[in-house]
Amino acid sequence: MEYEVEQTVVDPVALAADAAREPGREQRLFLLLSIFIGVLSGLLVVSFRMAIEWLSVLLQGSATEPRQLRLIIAPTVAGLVIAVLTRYVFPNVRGSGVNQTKAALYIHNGYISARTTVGKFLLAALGIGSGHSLGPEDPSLQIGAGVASYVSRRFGLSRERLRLFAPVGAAAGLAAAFNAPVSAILFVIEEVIGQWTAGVLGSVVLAAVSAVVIARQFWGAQPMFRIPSVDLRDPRELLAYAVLGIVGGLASLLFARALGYLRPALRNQPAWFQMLQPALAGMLVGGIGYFGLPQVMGAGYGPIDLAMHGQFAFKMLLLLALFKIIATTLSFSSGTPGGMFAPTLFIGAMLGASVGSAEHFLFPTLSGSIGSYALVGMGVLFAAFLRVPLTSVFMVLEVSGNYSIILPVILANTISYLIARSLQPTPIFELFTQQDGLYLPSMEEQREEIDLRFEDALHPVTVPILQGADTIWNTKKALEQSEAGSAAPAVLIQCSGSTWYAATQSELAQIASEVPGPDAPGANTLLQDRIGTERTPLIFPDQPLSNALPHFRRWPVLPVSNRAMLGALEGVLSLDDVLQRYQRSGKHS
Amino acid sequence: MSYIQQNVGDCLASKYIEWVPLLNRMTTQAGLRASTQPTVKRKLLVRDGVAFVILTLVSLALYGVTLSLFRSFQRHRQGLAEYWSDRGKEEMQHGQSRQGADSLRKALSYAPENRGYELLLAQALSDSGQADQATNYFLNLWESQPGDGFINLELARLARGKKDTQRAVNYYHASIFGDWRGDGPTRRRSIRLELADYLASLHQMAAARAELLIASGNAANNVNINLMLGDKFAAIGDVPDALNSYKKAIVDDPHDQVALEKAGRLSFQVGNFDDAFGYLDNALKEGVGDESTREQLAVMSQQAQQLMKLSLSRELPPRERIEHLLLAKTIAKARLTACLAHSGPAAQQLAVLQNLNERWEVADSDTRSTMEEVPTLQDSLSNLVMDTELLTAKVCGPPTGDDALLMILARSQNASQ
Repeated sequence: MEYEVEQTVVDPVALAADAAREPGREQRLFLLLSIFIGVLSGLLVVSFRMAIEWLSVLLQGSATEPRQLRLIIAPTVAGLVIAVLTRYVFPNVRGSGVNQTKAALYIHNGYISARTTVGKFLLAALGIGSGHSLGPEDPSLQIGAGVASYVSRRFGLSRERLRLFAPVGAAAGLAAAFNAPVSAILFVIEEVIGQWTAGVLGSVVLAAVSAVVIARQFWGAQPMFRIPSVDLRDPRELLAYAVLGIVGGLASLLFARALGYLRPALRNQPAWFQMLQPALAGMLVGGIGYFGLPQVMGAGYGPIDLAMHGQFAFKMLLLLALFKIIATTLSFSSGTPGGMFAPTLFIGAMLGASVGSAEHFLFPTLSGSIGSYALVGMGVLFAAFLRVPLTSVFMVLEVSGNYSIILPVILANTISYLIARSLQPTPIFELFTQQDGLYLPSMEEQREEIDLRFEDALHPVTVPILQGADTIWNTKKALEQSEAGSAAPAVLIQCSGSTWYAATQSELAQIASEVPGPDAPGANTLLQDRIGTERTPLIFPDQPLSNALPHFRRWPVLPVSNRAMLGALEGVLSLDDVLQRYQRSGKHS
Repeated sequence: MSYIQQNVGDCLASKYIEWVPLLNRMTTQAGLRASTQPTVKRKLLVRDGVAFVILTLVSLALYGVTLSLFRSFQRHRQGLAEYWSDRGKEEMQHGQSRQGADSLRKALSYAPENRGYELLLAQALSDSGQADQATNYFLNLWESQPGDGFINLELARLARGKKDTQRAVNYYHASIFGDWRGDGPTRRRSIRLELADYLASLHQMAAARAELLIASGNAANNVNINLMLGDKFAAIGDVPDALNSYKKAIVDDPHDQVALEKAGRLSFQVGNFDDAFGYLDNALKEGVGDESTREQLAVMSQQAQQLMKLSLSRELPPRERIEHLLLAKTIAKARLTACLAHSGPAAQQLAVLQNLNERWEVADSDTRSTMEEVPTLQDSLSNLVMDTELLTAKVCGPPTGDDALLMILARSQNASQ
C-alpha cells in the first residue's frame, strides 16, 4: 500500500478552539504560510536534485558508457536497498507521488507524514541516481506536499485548510523541479485539485513562485532544457506535427497499457518476490544500459537535450523511445519510488525528434529544426499519457520560451490527447488508484461532467402571483375568490425593485388572519411592507442547479429571473422539481 | 435532510452536507465574535508570531545548509567538467575527434552553460564528419550569437560540405563581418581568401576576383600577404592584379627573390619581356637556392633578352619595329620553306601552308620603305610572322632557335589579345 494510512494527528483542541475565535486568522496564515512552504519546498527540491546527481556520479560514474558492469550492479543493489527500506522503514513511499498527494487531499485531510516525505526524498534519489528509469518531478511534488502538510499542522489550522495545503505544497515542489511555475500551477489545478477557487489559486501561485525563485537562486533562470531554434517554417509542416500527434497518442497508449498490465501483475506476486522486484527491475534496466542504451537510465535529461539538438539518428531515436517505455514500465511497476514526468518527456522528445528526422529526410525544404519536433513531442506525450492537455501546452511554451511554436503544440497535443482518450478511457493516474483499491476523483471525468442548471429543472409559473403593492385586505379578498390561489402550496409576491417573495399558504393565512375586516388596523398596509425586507434570492436559468438546494430550507419555491429583465420570470423551481431532475439525470447516466 | 439524502444522488448529498456545518460554524463564530477576549487574540498573535519566527529561522538554516552543499556540488561538477573537457581537447589534438566529441558532451553535461565547451564540441563533431550533428549544434549556438565570426565560419564550411552554396556564401560573409575579438583583420582576410578560393572552385571568377580585390585593398604592406594575394589572383587568371600584388611585394622588399621570380615569370608569360628580364635578372642576382630553378630562370632571362630584340610591339619606335619585322620576316619565311620541303604534310595541312605561302608571296613586296610609307603593312607582316610560326609548329613540330622565340612572341600576343 503506497498511500498514507496513518490517522490525522490534528492540532490540540485548545489551539483549534482559540483559532476559531479569530476568523480572519486562517486566511492570513494561509497566504503567508504558502510563501514559506514555497521556500522550504524549493530548498528541499534543490537538495533532492543535487542528491540525485551526486548519487548518479557516485554509482554510475561520471560517464555512462555501455559495457560497464556498474550499470547493472548499481541499480540492482539500489533496488535491494530500496525494497528493504520500503518494507521496514518507509512503507508509503512507493509510486510517483501524484496519487499519494491526491489521496492525502481527498482521504487523509491533507496529511502526509514526515517519515513519508523523508523516505520519498531518500529512496527516490537513490532509485533515480542509481539508474532506474524514473523522474524526479513527481517525487518533488510529493515532497512539496509533505512539507506543506508538516508545516501547516504546526499552526493548528482547520481541517479544510489542512487539506488544501497539500496541493499548495505540491505546486511548489513541482514548480521548483520543473523551473516552470505556470505549468506546475496548471498541473496541480488540472490533475490534483480540479477547481479554480480564488483562495486556493492565490496560495498555489504564491507557493509556486516562491519555490521557483529559490530554485533559480541555485540553478539559474535558464529553462530546464537548452532549447534550440524552434520555428514553423511552412504551414504544410503542420501535417507532420499532426502525424506526431498520432504517433504520440499511440505511444502513450502502449506505455499506459504496459504499465496497466505489469504493475498489478507484479503486485499480485508473493511478498518475497515483491521484495526482489526493484532489484530485478534495476538489473534489467541496467542490462539495457550495459548492452548499448545507457541513455534510458535515470531521468534522461541529457539525452533529451541531445535529441533536441539533433544528435541522434532516426533509428537510435526510435530505439531509445521503445526501450525507455520498457525500462520505465519495469522500474515503476517494481515499486521503486520515482516519477513518470521525465520518462514521459524523454519518450516524447525521442518520438518527436524521429518524426522531425523523417520529415527532414523526406521534405528537407519544408521542415524546421529537429529540436522543434522534439519539443512538441514532449508536450504530445505529456498531454496524451498524463492527460493534462492544458498543462502540456503551457509546459512546452514555458520551457521553450518561444510562442511561435504554439500552433504545432496545440494541434499535436489535441490529436494525441483525443486518441489517448478514445483508446484508453481511464487516465493513468486513475488506473493506478483503482488498482490500489482507491477511488479518488478523476479530474478528467470532472471536466467532462455536465452540470445541471436551473433551466434544466424549472417549469412555467403555475403558482399564483400577488402584487406586493396591494393592500393586505385586497390580497385577502383576491385569494378568497380564487380557488387556485388557495389550493397552491405557495404564492409569489412581486415586490418593488423587481424582487420577489415566495410565501407559503400558512404564511399568507397568518397575515390574512391579522386583518378580519376592511377597517381593521393594518388592512390598508401594503403586502410588501407587511412581509418585511427579506426577499427570495435572485437566481438565473444558467446557474448550477445544485445552488438551489440550500434555499429550499427557507423558501417553498424559487422564482427564476430573466437576466435581461429582472422583473420577468423564466419559471419557478420547487424542491420536487430539482430532485426529480436529478433522478432523471441519474437514470440517463 | 433525510428526505434529501434519500432522493438525491451521493454527489448532491455531499454538497448539501458540506454547507450545513459551514453555516453552523459561521453562526457559532458570529456568536462568539462578540465574546472574543483581547487576551485570546493576543495569545494567538504571540503564538503565530513565534511560530513564524521559528519558521523563518528554520528556512534560513535550511538555506544555509543547501547553499553550502550546493557550492560543494558545483565545485565537484566543475571539476568533472574540466576533466572531461581537457580529455576531449587532448583527443581532438590527437585526431580522435569522435572520442573528443563524446568527452566534450560529458563535460557539457556537467557545465551546460559553458560556451567554450559548446564550441569545442561543435568543432569536434564537425571534424569527426558528423556534419548534421555539428550543423545542429552550431545553429543552436548561432541562435544566441548570430554575429559570432567563428560560428558563422564553421556553418559556412559545413554548408560548403553539404554543397549548399548560397548558404555557405551567406555564412562566409556573416563571418567576415562578424565578431572576432582581437585578431579581426587577420581572420577576416583569411576568411575572405577562403571564400575567394571557394568561389573560384565554383568557377565564379568575377565574385572570387571581387573578394580578392577587397582583401587586397584592406591588406597591409607586407611581402608575404602580397605574394599570397598575387598567387590567388594568378590562380583565377587575373594576371594584371597578380602582377600588381607581386610588384607591391617588390616595393616592400626589392630584394625578395620569390617576389622577383614570380613577377618575372608572370611578366614573361604576358609578353612583357622587358620587365620580365629585369625581374628575372634581379631574382638571379638575389640568389636562387634550387639549381634547376636557377637554370630555368637563367634560360627565361636570356630568352627575355632575345625576345626584346625580336619584339614586334607597336610600342617600339617605328624604325626599330621595322628592323625587327624584317629580321622576323627572314626567320619565319625560312621556317615555312623548310616546313614545306621536309614535312610532307597531309592534304588539309598542305592547303594551310599553301595559303600561308600565298600570303608570303604578297608580303615579299613589303620593304623597309613601303612599311615606312604604309604603317598598316607593319601589322600585316607581324601577323603573318606570328601565323607562320603557330601553323608550322602544328604541322612540322615545335620550333627551335629564333623560331622558338618568335613562337613565344606569337603565343604571348595571342594571350594578350
